Amino acid sequence: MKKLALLLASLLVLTGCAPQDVKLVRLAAHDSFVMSEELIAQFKSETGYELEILRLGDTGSLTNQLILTKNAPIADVAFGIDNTFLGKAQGEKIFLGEVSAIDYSDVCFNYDIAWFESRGITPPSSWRDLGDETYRGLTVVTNPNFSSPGLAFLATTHAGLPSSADVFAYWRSLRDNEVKVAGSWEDAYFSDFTRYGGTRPIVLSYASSPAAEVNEDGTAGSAALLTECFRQTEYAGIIDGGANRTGARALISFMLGDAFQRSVPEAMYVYPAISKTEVPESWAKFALPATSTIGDNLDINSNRERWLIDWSDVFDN
Amino acid sequence: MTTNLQLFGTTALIALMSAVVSLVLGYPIGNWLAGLGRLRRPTTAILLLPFLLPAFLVGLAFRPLFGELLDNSSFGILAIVLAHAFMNAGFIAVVTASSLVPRDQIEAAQLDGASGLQLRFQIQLPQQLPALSAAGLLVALYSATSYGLVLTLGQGAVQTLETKIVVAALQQLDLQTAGTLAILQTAMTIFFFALSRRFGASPTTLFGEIEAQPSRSVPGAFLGVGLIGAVALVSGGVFGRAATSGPGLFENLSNLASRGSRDILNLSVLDAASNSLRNLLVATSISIIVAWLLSSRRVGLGVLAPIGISPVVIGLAALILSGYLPAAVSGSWLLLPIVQSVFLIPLAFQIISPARKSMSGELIEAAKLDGANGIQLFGLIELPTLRKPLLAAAAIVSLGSLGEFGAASFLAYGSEATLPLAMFRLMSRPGAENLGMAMAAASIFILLAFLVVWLISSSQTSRQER
Repeated sequence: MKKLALLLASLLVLTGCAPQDVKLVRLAAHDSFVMSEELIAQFKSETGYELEILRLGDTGSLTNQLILTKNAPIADVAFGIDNTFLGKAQGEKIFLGEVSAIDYSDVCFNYDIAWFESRGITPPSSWRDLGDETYRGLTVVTNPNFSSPGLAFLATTHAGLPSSADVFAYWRSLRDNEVKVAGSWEDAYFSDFTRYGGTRPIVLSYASSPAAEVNEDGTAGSAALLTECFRQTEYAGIIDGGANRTGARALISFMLGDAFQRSVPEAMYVYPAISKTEVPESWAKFALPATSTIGDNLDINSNRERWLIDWSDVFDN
Repeated sequence: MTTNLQLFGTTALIALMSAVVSLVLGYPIGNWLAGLGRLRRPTTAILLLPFLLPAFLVGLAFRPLFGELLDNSSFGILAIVLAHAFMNAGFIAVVTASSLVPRDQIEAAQLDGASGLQLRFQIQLPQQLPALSAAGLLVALYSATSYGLVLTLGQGAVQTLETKIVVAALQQLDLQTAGTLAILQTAMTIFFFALSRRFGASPTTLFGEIEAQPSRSVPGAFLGVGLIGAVALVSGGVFGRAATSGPGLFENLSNLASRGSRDILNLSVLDAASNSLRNLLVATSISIIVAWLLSSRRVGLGVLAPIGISPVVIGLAALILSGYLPAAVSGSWLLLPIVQSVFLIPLAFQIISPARKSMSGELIEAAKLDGANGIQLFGLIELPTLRKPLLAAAAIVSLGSLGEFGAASFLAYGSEATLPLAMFRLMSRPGAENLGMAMAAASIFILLAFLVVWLISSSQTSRQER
């Protein structure tokens, strides 16, 4: 047993020796981060820096690890902390200076176009309509305790309605209108949404989702309700105390450059933060970003706990 | 707000109910299975299949069956218990069929005038109790740590220790609360061990060679056929989606060499599969070697304890340790197969230990007297004799590693992602192409699992025929 443990320990050490090099830039990102080999090579040829990517789980896990390691930073740049976690990260002072917005996604309701057309029912035009009798039993949302679009929509209602009492009343009207609350986005979209065999033609998802729902004849299969959506912005920032500050700056300007910005829609299903960037044809045609967003200035971090308690009261969990 | 005590209660309730329902369903099925003759082998393979599937696949398949009923959280708990029973009843049935009382004992009791009921409750059950309670313990431990299934079927309304740990650690970034809950989760594992010890739990040989007296069991046949139907329904649902989602079966299969529609994966599904195979080799080697070394020692049920460690707790530990370990160690791919073998050693031990104990002691003694050294003893006597249980253990452990999702989701990132992670990632983006690929990969996994169980259950029948 001891020999085995020793063997395993030595294997770990062997795989673990990476020489420190100033020509290396280390990027800490969440697990949804995708950067193609070509872009990594382009970054190297333009700046001379090797890029090492550390993927640290989902956004919560990434933020946690950056906070836990802030005295001995594991990377030079962090990418992927969004506006739901930025307050916490800045409070813990993990970044040096300002952060840069790299991409965003808009949390909006999507509906199944064919379902509404075949029944001659007018689809809703805003989330505010979903308590109407016409849409009884037609909507599925995700549980805000576990799902980030779920939390984003809860924030939307707080931004869009004047008081907590109104928010409470709105959610009660949804509940009484038989809204379904799924545990995760995957369950809501691939199990409850009518396009995938479910019974709900209205699903909480993203403004970009219709780009993946184009029918074989080239027509749109689903559409998003583009007003008053919640914008989730993802940021990149220089980690305070990182080994390679110049390299970090170079990486962030590369991520703001045209090549990287153009890649983000297809790679990560998000919109480029630099507004004049060209987006893929299917996006330009079927998945425009929201026409209006709300809740951009909400302090989600300090309100989250109270919101979730109130929300749970409505649904009696 | 839900208190910690309530969370503990819900988690324990789900685990205990799952174990009891699995036992109640699995026991008669086991009696029926033992009397099946030629059909026993394919039936065993089908019944064991759900035990080896990743829980999120089971959740996905079960969810549409319950529909709106899940919106009631009490029903959510029931649905979770039913899904656990679906996954584990076949395992209980195989344990039951392998721990039947030898034929001569039954015949002796019959000669003495014992009735059918007396036979079952005074002779068979007491002798099977240690094996069944050890298996029940295993089911309870698995059922206390099935985060993905609880989230899917409970829809976030059913809260357990694990769901609360995840919210505390990853949403509220409150590691202290998460840590307290993790200690409670560990306390529950200890509680289950204490409980099963009261029933004298002890692992049995899973693919045994006892000549048993199979008993006719009408409810067993009924339930057995029902369970086979449920397995067919679940796998059929996955196959169906693989064939009909997106561009169709052929394209879905050939897409597996790619990184998904619009390259949403960090690696291709085939690369993920090769990561999984690499992890499988490491995890299986460690598990079999350690289980072999442990099986010659007097170790008790404690060997099963790691199964009760929640993957969520492991993820939390990895998260906290990552603040202290060098990134090269916490980010090494070796970490995952090592952690997986911690869960898998108990399974390997369950199969190897009883088989090794049942080996004739005289044979070893005779070899020792003839001057055989340890290596000769192992290579020339133990290995050939125990080849089949060892292969069975290796096969089950391999599938365990291949389908493992919980620990992998915390420890294998980016280009180190495994097959189940790639399947799940494909399903977490919109579009029928991605879903079709996920289902094609899942179909291959199901067929592979069936093949492996078929092969290992053959070791049992071929021996009986001899």
